[in-house]
Amino acid sequence: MSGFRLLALTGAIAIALNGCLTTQSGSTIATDGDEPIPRLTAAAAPGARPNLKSDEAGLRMMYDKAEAGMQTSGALIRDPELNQYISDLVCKLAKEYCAEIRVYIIRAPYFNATMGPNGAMQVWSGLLLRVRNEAQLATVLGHEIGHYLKRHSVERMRNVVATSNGLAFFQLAMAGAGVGFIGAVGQLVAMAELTAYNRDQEREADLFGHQFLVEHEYDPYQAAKIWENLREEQKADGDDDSKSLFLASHPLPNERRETLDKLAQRTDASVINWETGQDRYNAALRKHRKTYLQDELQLRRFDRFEALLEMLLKDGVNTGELRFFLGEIHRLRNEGSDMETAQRHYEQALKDGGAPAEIYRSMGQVHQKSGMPAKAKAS
Amino acid sequence: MKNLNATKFLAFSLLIVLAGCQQYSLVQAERVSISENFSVEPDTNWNKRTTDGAEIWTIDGESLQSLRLFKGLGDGDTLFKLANAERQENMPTYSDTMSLLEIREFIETSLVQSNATNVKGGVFEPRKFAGHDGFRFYVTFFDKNGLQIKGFVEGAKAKGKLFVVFNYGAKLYYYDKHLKNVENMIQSAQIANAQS
Repeated sequence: MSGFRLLALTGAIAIALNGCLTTQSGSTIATDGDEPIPRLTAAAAPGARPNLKSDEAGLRMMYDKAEAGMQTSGALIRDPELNQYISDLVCKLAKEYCAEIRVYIIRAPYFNATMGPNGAMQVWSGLLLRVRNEAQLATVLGHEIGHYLKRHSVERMRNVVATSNGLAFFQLAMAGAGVGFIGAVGQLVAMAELTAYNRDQEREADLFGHQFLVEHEYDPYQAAKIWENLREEQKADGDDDSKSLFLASHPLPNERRETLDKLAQRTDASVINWETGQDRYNAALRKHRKTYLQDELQLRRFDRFEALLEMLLKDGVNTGELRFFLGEIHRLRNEGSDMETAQRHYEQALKDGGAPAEIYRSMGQVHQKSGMPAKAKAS
Repeated sequence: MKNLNATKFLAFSLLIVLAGCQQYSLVQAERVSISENFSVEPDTNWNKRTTDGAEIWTIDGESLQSLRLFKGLGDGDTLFKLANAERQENMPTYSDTMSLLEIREFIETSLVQSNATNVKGGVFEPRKFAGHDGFRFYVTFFDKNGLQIKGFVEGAKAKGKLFVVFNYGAKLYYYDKHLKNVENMIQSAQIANAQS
């Protein structure tokens, strides 16, 4: 299912801005230089449906099939409050296109969001764990909405079909429709590469994301920070960009960060009251974060996870919970002085407060491993 | 001649298709050795295929109901062998020094690495397995197709190895369908020449 991410992403942003922005025609979108930042509009009016005999209608039908699978997937997060929060944010950004977009929150510990040409948007829990405030979430959602509004996936499909690999495109799309949400990751990456947007499309989507931030008075510098944080995490375990589902189809984080930073700098003077919406975001994620952290731990990408936890610690939100998971990394890795380090993290977690009850079980296991049965029993 | 060529082509195609099928064989209701030390006696017929480190038994089809009988995990062994190199690299390895809680974590994490989602551990209880002090814990998860699965893992450490069976099936109907057969089989488990 995750293979649909790219196609889905392309459409979403274009919808949101329709009617409120001037049209930017042509393929080159300037994001630096002295000229005004262009404002974009959607490729179609709200509620517009493609001709049933068109290739776009065919593409939508494939995604409709995939969406039916999403609705019954075990990976679907059905928590009403979290769904309401994200759907409200999508509607705030997409405005008159809101009714065309359905949001599905997927429990999958990877940084990913997708948007189908039929309006089905996926937001993965790994992304929710990594964005740090509402402004950053709005950036990603806005980017995806932008692809949708501009019908980038349709453009891409036509381009691929017209050039070389049309059959492969449809084979992958059809196969993807039958794949579970995170079942065939390799297939999804392959599809992501095949359906990758071109640089202008990505810039357009970024520009939409930026415009959404400015329009709703979110701090525009938050957009670049997403990519900065992602890069930090990747560097921690020497990962290359190609391993990321999201990055397989997107420009590299450094390039993305620089572009978005330039946009923010050029917008700086025109914005009056920026906000990040961090408190609202933390409140929405509070009761889910432990589950998402546990999912990350079970991936056993310890170095990357440790880097993520260190970044989250800087926000100071429920640090006891974060330090517990730092301890868990060391306990499970169990190399060299890992047990002593785990114990230090657990002790600090208890001091900080907010650590889950499982900390006592883990401390018991560390004591047992360290040859301290009496302490293990006490834990 | 044209018909003959078409027949040859069809036969060749069929051969190729069949070559990709899993190789199952019949398990009859009599004592069966899973490995040198480990045997069970089913009370009904099953279908089985063999993988590296385990036998997979089923009556209704693997995606609906399965019983994995592991041959005995030693130090450094992984529970599952995955084609995806990165996931296999991150698959936890068994150690004979693991506590029961760590064995539970080992199995849950192995499930996650093999694409199960929403893995939730349930009741965890001590239990005799093949005459040895062992454990059973219940688990639910969703498979890669989104099907909700219910199951349990039961086993014991013996002779420096971990002997486990993993029984699971679709929560709706199939998990319960052959549960009595599975329980009877587990009661029949024997670990030969092993000291607990």
